[in-house]
Amino acid sequence: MSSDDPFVLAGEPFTSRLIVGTGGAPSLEGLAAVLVASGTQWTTVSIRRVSTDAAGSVLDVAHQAGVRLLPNTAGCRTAAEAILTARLAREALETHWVKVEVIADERTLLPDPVELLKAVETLVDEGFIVLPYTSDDPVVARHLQNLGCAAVMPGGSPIGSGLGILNPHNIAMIVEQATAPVILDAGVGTVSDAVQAMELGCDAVLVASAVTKSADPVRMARAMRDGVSAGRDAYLSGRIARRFGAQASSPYEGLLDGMVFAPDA
Amino acid sequence: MTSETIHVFLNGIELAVAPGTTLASVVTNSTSLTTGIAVALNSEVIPKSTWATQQVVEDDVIDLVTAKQGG
Repeated sequence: MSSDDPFVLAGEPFTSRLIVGTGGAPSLEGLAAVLVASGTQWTTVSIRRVSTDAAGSVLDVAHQAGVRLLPNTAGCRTAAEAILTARLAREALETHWVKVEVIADERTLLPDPVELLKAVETLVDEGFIVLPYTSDDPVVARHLQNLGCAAVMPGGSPIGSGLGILNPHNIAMIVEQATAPVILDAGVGTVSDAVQAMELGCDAVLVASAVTKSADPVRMARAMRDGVSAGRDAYLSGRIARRFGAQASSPYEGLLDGMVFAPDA
Repeated sequence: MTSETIHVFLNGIELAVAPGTTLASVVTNSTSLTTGIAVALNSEVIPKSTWATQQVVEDDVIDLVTAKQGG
């Protein structure tokens, strides 16, 4: 990742545009290696009741990997639950950063926009740095920006589905209207999905299952790191326009007699 | 007449404790974790700085949480 193209989030510059969640990893063992391989500077964690039989701690893993913690209100179905969870996370982890996820139902795991907006409004007022998980609806994304979120995080497709970006046009519209960084979050299945997100102009990508549930998580983490970087460079390079017809890249001048005809003058 | 125990709920499980038991005592008897944890008492976050003085009462609902994989 280039240091002359920092990813600025809530006024802080970061060199990595990839966030890797801890969700989906079969165990804590090896998770640190995955986070290190990805080059990420952030990882997400959920807030759950303390269990007496827990062995090891995701906090130790994050510390070992040298990454910052982004608590997530995953599992919350209402604004009240998300607000309480965010407050608990702030107290437990001593951070004002929070990814706000308020889910409507188990089948789709789509965010409930009504409850999400209520939660975000309260949490921004309480001084949280809010990163909301939302759908690819540009209208909701605009509302979230207007409430003062530090970024908007539209899903490409349902959480854990690996379906990639189902509606690239909507993601492009969210990018076009963005006044805060856009972090594609949810549905990434493999590296090409992350590359597509970056080429659409997203500022970063958050992945979890695509890495933690892959057959070789460390290798996939490295590939995601490289893909996000390549996608960002491609976006900044300015791609050629799409054309309906062909356009030769070799000159017509100097063609030998009898070769492919030149276009009419 | 003073009851010898009161009943509270800790992480969904009923717990009998002595009257006057503090949140700090409930926490230390429940987990060896001393960092990365937080407590909600009846859905209100209680700052760690007040655990030693916050006493629990009958039917209090206590949630003791920490960070886990996810998100």
